[in-house]
Amino acid sequence: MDLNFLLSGMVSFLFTMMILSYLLGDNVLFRIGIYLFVGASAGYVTTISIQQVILPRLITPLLNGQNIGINIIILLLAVLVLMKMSQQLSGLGTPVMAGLAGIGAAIAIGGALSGTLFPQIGAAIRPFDLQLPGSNLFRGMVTLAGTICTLVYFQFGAKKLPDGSTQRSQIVEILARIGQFFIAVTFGMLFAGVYATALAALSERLDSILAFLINQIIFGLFF
Amino acid sequence: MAEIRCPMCSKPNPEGQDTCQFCQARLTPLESSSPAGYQPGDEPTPKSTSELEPILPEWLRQARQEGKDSAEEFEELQAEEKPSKPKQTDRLARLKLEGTRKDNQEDIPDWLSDLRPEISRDEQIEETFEDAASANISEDESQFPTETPVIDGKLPGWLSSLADQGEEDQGNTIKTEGSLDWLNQAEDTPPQDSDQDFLSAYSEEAFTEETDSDEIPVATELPDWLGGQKEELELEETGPEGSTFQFTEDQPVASEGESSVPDWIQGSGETQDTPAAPFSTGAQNLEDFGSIDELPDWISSPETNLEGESPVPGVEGDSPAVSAELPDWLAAMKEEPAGEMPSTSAAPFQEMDTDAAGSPGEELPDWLSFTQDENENTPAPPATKTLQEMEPPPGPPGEEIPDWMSDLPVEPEPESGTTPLPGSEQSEPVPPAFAEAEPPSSEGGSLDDIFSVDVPDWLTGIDTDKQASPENKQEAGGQPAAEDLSPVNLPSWVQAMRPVESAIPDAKAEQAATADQFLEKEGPLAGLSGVLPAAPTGFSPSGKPKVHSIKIQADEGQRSHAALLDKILETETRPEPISSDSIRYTQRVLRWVIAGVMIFVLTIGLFSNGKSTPLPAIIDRSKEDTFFEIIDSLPNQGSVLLVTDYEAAYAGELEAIAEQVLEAAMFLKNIRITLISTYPTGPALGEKLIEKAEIIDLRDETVDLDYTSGNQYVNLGYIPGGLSGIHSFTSTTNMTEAFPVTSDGLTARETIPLQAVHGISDFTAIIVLTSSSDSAQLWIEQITPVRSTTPLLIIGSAQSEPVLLPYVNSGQVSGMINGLQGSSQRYRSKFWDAYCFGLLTATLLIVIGSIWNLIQAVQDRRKYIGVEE
Repeated sequence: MDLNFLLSGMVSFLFTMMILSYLLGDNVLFRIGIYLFVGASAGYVTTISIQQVILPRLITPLLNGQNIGINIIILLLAVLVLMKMSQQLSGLGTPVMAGLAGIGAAIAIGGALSGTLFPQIGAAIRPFDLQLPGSNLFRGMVTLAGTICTLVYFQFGAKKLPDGSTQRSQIVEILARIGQFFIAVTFGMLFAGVYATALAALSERLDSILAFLINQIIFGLFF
Repeated sequence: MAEIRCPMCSKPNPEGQDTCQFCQARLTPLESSSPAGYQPGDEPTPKSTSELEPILPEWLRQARQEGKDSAEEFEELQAEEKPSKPKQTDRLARLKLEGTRKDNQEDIPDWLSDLRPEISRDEQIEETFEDAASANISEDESQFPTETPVIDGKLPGWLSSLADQGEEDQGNTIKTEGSLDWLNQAEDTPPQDSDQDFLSAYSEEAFTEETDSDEIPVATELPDWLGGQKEELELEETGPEGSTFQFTEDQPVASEGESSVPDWIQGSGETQDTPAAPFSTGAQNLEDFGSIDELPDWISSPETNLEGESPVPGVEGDSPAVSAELPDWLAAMKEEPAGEMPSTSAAPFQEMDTDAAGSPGEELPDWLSFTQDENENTPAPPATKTLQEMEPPPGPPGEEIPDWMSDLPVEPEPESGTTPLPGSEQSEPVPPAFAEAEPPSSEGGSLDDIFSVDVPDWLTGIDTDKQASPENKQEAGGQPAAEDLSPVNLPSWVQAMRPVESAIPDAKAEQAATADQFLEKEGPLAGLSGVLPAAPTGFSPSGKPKVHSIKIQADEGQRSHAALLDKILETETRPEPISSDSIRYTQRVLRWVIAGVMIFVLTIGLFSNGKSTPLPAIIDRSKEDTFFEIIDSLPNQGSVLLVTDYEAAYAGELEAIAEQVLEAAMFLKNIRITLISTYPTGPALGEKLIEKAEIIDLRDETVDLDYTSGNQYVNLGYIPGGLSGIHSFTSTTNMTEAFPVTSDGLTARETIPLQAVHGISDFTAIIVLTSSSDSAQLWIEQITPVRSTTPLLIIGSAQSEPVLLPYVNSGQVSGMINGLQGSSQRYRSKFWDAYCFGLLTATLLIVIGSIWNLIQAVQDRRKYIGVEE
């Protein structure tokens, strides 16, 4: 019997049972398991950041004399970001953070336009192009109807009636009802996907526990 | 014996008790009985005594008129003789001019200034008056030794007779400087701040034994009626033992007084042989006498000058002549009950025994006769009590006081009795002086002359026996009799002569003490003082307390808002039924039951090893098919970029999906894998995935592909910066330069998987394992512009499928499989049965729960309808 496998199997089994103890309510075992996971994750992330980012990409090049100017700037910017931990010196890190946010926003916008908006507009039109292979008018119509009705549902403009109440027009009301149906189906599918994901994760965990109990405990001790 | 009834217990107590012998309550109040009276140190109030003229009796007005006439004549004479000196016709008025007491300038009574002519006409009174004056001189010598012009010797005849009598009756010298020395001295005497007025000072001086005093300042000018007397005195100024009685004009004269002293003064000279102890403290003793404020000072002075034995012959005994000549009010005074004259000066009155001279007390007014005994036997009481403790001498004012006097406004102040009666003062109301100076001796010859003037009735009513009672009362009770005196409007010049506060050391303390101890006059605490604290200074009730309306001033809008707030609060404060423990317990049990059911079902599915459930018939398999086609089309030893962006929680699902895909690709195509992740835990999860995938379970054997880092796969590790890192990674054209070192420390360009890779488009395929649709979107957006023809494959969780499916439909994603369902089309997972059992169980539970809720809703609706009906 591999000792490492046994120990790792035992630890995983214990922590899995501690997390599953939440079925009985909030308890100490559950909290201990959560705290251990959070602590271990934080430590692991810090270690990864130092080992895989700071040392190979900043310190090592500086020590080796590679791209010293750029690396010094990077180091200076990193130190300024660290100033955010101090209330008095947090202002020094603000420009760096602003640069990061601006750069990230620019990248996100560019990626959204080139990677999502324009391609998705083309994808929405494509079903109506009967010349293209795989065109599906019905699918396109349903997609279009679903998109329009969903957008109409979020249109909350209405007329004010003489009695003081407000009411949307009949067309908008109907389209909103249709859009509400599409939204309900979408949320149902999302819930089903979440449940399917959780069910798969639970199955994997149960398989792991059963495998440990059967293979490592029962067969290991008695056979 | 009089009894004092206790105000608390109403039990009788013997007179003189301070506290009740039964309940210890205080019987006599501590506060001053005359709060509105004159207090020591008060500024004198100017009063015009001329206002009393209309009410004066006829004889007084006549006397005043004559006095004025004579005064005018006298002023004319003085102006001729000594124009440089101030006029002395009106000596008291001159007092005002002298400025010694400026504040009482206008208060010198006219009647007093007009008295002199009247006195000159009546020798009996003048003798007595002169006697007092001569006695005052003796004291003035000591107090005012400054040289003053001597009277030029004009003395009336009666004054010269006084001098003769003084020589004959007593060998002692009484310094006299003239007929009106005391008046002259009064002019020169500065105001005294002592506790005695000038009256007492003059009286005191009269009783001193300064027989050998040298010189006495004498007033310079004398009226005509005194001028003749002065001449007589000059002739008789030889005195025993060198004592001088000079009436020189420019230098003080030391006279023995016997020359011009009347007979009755001679008698007083005899009394100077008697022990002078009572008069050694003449100031005190004299104040007791002089505190008879009813008498003008010129009357009281001779009164004190006359010592125990009356120098006036004929005063002794009943003196019918005197009584006959006394005015009614003086005669009535004699008949006054002694108890009605409480005075501190009663001590001498009490001790005055009429036995020494027959029964003088019956024949003479008490205040006239008491001085003898007092001078002889008793020491004088403290002078500080004199003015305050004086008691109004007359008895019932309604009967004995003349009509004009009864009409006078009299304030209920103890010192009211000190107000000199106009009639008595103007018409030689010298009786007090005579009474003092003339003890009740058998020698009453001159007394008849003295009392030949109209003595007020109240003076005649003074009786020694009747005065003894107040004295006893004072001694027994310790209460000054002056407290019982009623206040009266005093002339300012009399007020100015009151004892000042500084001379009474305990006056302030007593006043403060009595002020703090308020005497209760009503209620059950009546008679007690200091029981309840007095109201603080400055406190004064401001009347009725303000009535504030409790009604809120609010308009309709505010009231409606208040009503709305009340409704809201009513709903908030309404108790809501708390769900019973049974319901919560049921829910918890239901949760446990559902969990148990699911665990049981999944466990059964796991034990089936995924073979009991058929694969699902998927309608559209395009994306899965495309995915597997691309995997199958990968070149041998092709370089595949594997992005592991998922958390460890989703590792069970994603590894179950990707493991078989990778096993096939690795086993069949021996692909080179480059691991990278934007999640810190991604690189580790990627390596774990490779470790699992390299072991392939075949039917009969297990094959270990032995994938090693740097050879078959390379782990570039974690890409920091999120979107920026992805963009940097996808946009780089030199992969080994961007990531020079692998996660395990290898040089990236030396690794086999990266040897032919420079950019993202150099990979044979890009496979993104992600549990999050967001992460997949980032990768799709960043890779799409740069990936060229490189296929992008996504292995995602079931929950990310609805979001990522449009990217598949748009062609941005070459192929995608999501969840166990997506991978099961080709590779049956061992979790497939458990997964299918779990989905079925969950579906059943949802249906059962929905039906249960539907039934409950129907029941509730029926109950609601039943309630409404």
